[in-house]
Amino acid sequence: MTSMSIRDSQPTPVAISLGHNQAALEVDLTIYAERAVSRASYKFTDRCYLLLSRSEQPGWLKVTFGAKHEKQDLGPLLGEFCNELLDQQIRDDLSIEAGPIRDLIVAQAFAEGNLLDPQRDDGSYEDDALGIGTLR
Amino acid sequence: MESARSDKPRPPLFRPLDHYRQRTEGYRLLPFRFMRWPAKEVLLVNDVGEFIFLEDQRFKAFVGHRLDLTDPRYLDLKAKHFLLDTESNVPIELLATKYRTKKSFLEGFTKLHLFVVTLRCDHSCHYCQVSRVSTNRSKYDMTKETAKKAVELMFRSPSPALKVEFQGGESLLNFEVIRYVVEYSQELNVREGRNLEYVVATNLVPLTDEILEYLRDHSILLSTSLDGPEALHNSNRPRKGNDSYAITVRNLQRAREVLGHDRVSAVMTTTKLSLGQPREIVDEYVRRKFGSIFLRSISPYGFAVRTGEALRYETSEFLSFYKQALQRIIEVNREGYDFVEVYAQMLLTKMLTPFPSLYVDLQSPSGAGLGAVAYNYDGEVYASDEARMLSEMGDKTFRLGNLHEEGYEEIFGGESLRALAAGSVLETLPGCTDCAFLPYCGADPIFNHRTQGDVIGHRPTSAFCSKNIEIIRHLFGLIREGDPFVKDLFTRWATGVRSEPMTRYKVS
Repeated sequence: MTSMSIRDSQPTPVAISLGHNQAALEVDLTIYAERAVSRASYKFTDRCYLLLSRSEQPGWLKVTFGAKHEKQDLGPLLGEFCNELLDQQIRDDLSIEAGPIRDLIVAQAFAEGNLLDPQRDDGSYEDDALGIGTLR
Repeated sequence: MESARSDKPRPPLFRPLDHYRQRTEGYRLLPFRFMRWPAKEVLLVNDVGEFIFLEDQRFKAFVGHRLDLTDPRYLDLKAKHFLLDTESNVPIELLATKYRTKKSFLEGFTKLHLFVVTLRCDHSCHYCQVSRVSTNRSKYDMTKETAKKAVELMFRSPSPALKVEFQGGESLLNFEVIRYVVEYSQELNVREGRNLEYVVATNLVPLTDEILEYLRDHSILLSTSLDGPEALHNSNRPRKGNDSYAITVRNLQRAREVLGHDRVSAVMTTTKLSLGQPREIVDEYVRRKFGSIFLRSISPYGFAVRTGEALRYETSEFLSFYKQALQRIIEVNREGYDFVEVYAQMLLTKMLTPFPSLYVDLQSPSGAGLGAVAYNYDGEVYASDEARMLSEMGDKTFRLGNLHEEGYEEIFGGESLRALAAGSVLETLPGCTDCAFLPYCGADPIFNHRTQGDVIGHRPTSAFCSKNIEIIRHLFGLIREGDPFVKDLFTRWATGVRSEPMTRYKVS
């Protein structure tokens, strides 16, 4: 799910140095969702400038990092970004699996009726479907 | 009759045993958020605030659907609704009920009604959020006509409980209108039957015996300001004669004697000067026999901005101050004096109980306009006191309407409040949607607008966000340290219940 693939014998995402105060990562979109890349990038916007663009290689996304000040070392940020990307991918997988249940919980919380078992609200205790009254 | 009953074929009372048997083919993940924690742990929090810490390896196994049924944390995860391994709807129903409870602050709509009865004040506090004017300009007083409209609008709110808070300036400088609001609201309440509560926010300087008797006779609470020891208080709250502390302490005593000890509370504001005195501030509150303190950072509004005070310390400096003060508060409790930090208490209520906080800054959607509303002296209606302060600075973005020009539907159903509510749902805000602390936090769209230029805000650079994240993380850290006294203290703050020693249950 979140394992890294290898391109040109390098761990992916692939880091590319763009020279002075800039660096880039290329991310394999068969492993990471665009949403995960976008959310990971947002979390770094206080520490550097970021740009998402299509990579020259089909199916890859390029994340370009720009330093916010002259002496900023972007190296550690790239490593942290890769870890954040893993967490964001887990969150994305979670939202796919549990998102519909979350919607149902919120809808049920504010619903007048019973969304989970509508027939229960239509029933009448007088019908005594389980025959509880016969035990008396 | 008896035989007729027994002749009737009886349907099974319970579903077949297989229905209740543990499924072995796996589990589904229920919605939750997570955050990395030191020492290779992960904190998981679900939408209703239940939390659990897992070791990193166990977390990986859990989200990868590889956690074994026999794992010692499996049942914890199930009991706290992080996984679902039955076909039953009951866990979903329970979560929906808990979610509704967490959002129960929305019931009844606007409960807190702030009446800004005057902008006049005798103090010149550096941090004043109220854009105060001098005492002799009565054109800054609310008139009875405006107050009447405000009271009538307040009763349009469907809430069975209404809290009236008188603000200023120095509110007691317009005591005539305070009295009018109290009496007119009580007159209307004969028919309305609401639970009315009144609080006067005051520096206590204009307090007379006549005012005190009136407050006592009408069960009105007092809230005053005490910033710490004498030198700090007088420095933060200058007035002619430099005697604010002496008057506050003297009138605090008088007010307690007439109204009752617990009928007078105090708040403090943290200035640059306060940062070096966390212990002294706490000790001053204990010396004055208060039961609580609210450690508040400065707000970026009004006079505070004009004097530049708001810019004089960083969030990190406030957090350092907060942690030191909280440590002192824990010590004080350990020494046997019951003393609460109010902000921690509100957060712990959300962390350790099923219940929400009624504090508007810790709600999603924000309580501005939905939970609280401010009626300005001139009849303008704002979504909160902060929105009103912003308008005094020339920014009327959060003006909801005017008491003399618009009715309830226009004011509370208008575009301003709708936009404010829509922009303050944490569950939809970038950065917040992923945050494990979302169920404990709140939205402050007015702060975002003031400091970052739009109601949504930018989480990575938000002072509001970094303050809340660090305080919640600190509280979790203290809980994780495992000191039984601290755990018991925090539980007591959150629930209001003191755990009894086990010896009570021993049979002698």
